[in-house]
Amino acid sequence: MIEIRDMTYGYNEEKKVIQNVSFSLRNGEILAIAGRNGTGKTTITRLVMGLLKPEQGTVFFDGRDVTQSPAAERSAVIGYVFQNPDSQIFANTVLEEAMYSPLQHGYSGKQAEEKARKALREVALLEFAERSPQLLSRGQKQRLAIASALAAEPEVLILDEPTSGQDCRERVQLLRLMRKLNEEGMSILLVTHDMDILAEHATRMLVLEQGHIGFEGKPAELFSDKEKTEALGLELPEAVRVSAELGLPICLTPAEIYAKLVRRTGTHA
Amino acid sequence: MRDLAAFTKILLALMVSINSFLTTEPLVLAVFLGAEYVSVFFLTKKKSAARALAMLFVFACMLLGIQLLCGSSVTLSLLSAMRMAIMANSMVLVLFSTKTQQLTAALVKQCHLSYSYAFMVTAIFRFVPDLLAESHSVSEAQACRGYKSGGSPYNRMRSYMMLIKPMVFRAIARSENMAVSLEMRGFGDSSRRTFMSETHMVVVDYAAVAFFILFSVCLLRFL
Amino acid sequence: MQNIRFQEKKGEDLRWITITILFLAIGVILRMVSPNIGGISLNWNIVMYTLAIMLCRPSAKQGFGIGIVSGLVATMSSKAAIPYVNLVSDPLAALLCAMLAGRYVCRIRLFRINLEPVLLVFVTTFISGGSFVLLTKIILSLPMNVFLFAMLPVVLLVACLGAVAGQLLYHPADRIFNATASNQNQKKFSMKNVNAVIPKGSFTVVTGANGEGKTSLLLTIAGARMDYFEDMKDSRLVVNGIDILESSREILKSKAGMVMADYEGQLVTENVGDEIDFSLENAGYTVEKIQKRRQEVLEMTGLAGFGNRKIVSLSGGQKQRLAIAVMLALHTDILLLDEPVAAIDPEGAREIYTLLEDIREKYGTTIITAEHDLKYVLPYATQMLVLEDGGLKIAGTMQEGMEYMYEHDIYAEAIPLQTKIYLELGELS
Repeated sequence: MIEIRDMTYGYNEEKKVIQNVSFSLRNGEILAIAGRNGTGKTTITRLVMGLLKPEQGTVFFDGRDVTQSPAAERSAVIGYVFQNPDSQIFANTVLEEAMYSPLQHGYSGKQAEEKARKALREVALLEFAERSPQLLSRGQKQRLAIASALAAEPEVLILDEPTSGQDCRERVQLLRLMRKLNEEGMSILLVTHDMDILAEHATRMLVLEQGHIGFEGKPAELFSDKEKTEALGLELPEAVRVSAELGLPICLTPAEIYAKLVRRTGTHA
Repeated sequence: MRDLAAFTKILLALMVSINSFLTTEPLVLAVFLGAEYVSVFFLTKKKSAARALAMLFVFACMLLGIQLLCGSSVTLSLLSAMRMAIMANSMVLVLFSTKTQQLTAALVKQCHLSYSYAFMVTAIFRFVPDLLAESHSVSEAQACRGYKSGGSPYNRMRSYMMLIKPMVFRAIARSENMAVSLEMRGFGDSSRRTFMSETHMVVVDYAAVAFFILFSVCLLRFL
Repeated sequence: MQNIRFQEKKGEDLRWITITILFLAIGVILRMVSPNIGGISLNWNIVMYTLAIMLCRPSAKQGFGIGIVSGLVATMSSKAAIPYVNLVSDPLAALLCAMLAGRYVCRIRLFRINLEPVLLVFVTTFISGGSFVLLTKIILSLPMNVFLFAMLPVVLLVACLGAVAGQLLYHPADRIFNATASNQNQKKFSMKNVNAVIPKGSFTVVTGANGEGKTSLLLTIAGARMDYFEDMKDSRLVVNGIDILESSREILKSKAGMVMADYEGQLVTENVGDEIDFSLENAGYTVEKIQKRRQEVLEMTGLAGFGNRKIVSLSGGQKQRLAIAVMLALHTDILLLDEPVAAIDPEGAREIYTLLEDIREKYGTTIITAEHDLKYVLPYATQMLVLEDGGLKIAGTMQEGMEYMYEHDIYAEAIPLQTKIYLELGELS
């Protein structure tokens, strides 16, 4: 889907934030990017989106070299959802907000509205279409930001810390939405420092370490190695810790723990 | 200049500006201007101050050009260009040699500005870098939704609103919390307030002012 | 009958100050980054303060003050030809603007559109720009030709652009401004059955989903008065032996300090030391006492040696610690924090909570935090308040609180996995 080859980027000459990084986002997967603060997680997604120009390296989309195309152009195929939805909400109504992107991509008003309504239905905000977006809760605003990206009908979605600022209920809803979109075929690039989300939802993960890729593979591979996880500056997911404490084989999700517990005790909860 | 009280610097800047109108002799203005350029070397932030003065110099040259084009005499054009440079430079010198806190303390204590207003000035400068970062993230977010600017001036203004509106909306939301927090921190009653950054005028300050007056009188009288 | 705590009126509204600060800061930025049309860029400062005046409708005197502030900022930040001229033109224009806005003179409707913003921004920009170029012309004795054919047309053009921008911005801004202040007035928020005793030196976490009143509860204890919050009915809340609902705001404000969720908005000066001094200066402490206290709180929060650092250069976690230091400077009895780690990475989050525990242990400060995620606070908090449906569901130890949440399925999503599994195991066996 998206391939990054030999990417290098630095804010100044001495210190490179990203150095010779190569990876690819495969069709239909959720690829998570993790790492300590300041290791360049969002720099990578910005490079993928075209918000930053790499010093070196190439970005391929479906085999096409898109390194030179600006973010506004790439947004037709890649949707980028920022951490704070307040930095993009400008319209008077929820519908108008979601219509912006398709309008920018040359669709007529009618087509744009159709696409916007479809996207709003997808994120369960259609009933609020005529409301002011400012009156939505933080979780709803985040879903609106996702809908405005979806309205352009992209093939890839980049989510930057999508659950920040939301309470546990809203978080569950948002993750469920992410999973649903993924099951419908959307490839997702997820930046997060929440290892619980990562363990439960990521197909694969990348861990950045001083501008390089310190680990690439399945979450289970990394989290079964406690020392390596900690050396990369990450914490073990809660499920992994709890399952170890209970003397169970390593589990990545609460559901797995429950399943194994039930098997062990032989009862049904 | 950094050892003088903030109020002294304000006084000096005002005096040099006023002096520039008391004469029609280009040579006298040139001396004042020269004195300003020399004093840059006594500042701590030499480089950035010099850059600001250089920009003003270019601006003064442009003003000179416009006047000549509009048919003013060479002397008159030169006079107004130099006056402009003297005044603008004096302000730059004050700003680059004084902390904002010291300036506001001087404005409140010696120029009798109400503290609320002085506080607003410092707070504005505090939020500029934060909001600059915010404006950057807004423009990134909108670019990711296909934002392009262009077209007729009206259309450009309309699409530019995309970048301004989120910032304005966030500012409105933030202002409410800020107001509550200011109240909790005892802001408002300025009568009993202490000013840590207050700089008092001492002998050096009076000497500097006296010297400057003497210097200008000599210049204006004998040149 | 309302509780004493809610009978008092709000203090002087400082909103016009904070709006002006943020708007003029935006104005400074827009002047730096905005594109120009044929070499002419809009004077955003004027547009922004006109908007601020239209939103808050300050008195003429305050309007004049806003003009002085704008003039000072322009003087201190611009490369204008004659720096002092702004100090005359801006106050003049802002004064006029405040007078017109206060009397709603320009509220004229055309095809059901309120044209006040267009007219007011145009008039204000024209007055400000006009007097600016007039003074410049006189002071520099520029020829009449330059004034008539170069300067005045530019002023007119800028005023027109400004008027368009003002019209596009004002209506949505006004809607939001009133949504946060008066709209909710009609349907005021109140809580009931909040009965709890929080002992001195304890560590309490208030939890519940967003919108259940966590912030309002903290603000009530802190002695702040929000427009939208009316009362706590059938409630008795005792913190550090103070009956919160029966005490005056003055007392509460002197005992409790609150770090807001938007802690960055709470920091209002340029460097760390000044920020701490700000509260102490407001309280009128002597210079020596301020210096001593500043040193103390910087050490308490692990920021010793940061006194001269610019606030912009701090990380999120450090800013949060500074906000805590600021509150501790005046109040060591009760420290309230609204979601202190929501915007901070896991490592920083743990540091903040370790620090809070340290402060509690060493100085006996009562700590109350609002959290919708119990993960980080779990090892430290000893007491828990759970809010739902506009009321307090339970006040007790952490164990009691979480058991209650689990059994009654009240915001049970927040119970950390480990606890949840043990609770479940209890049920299993």
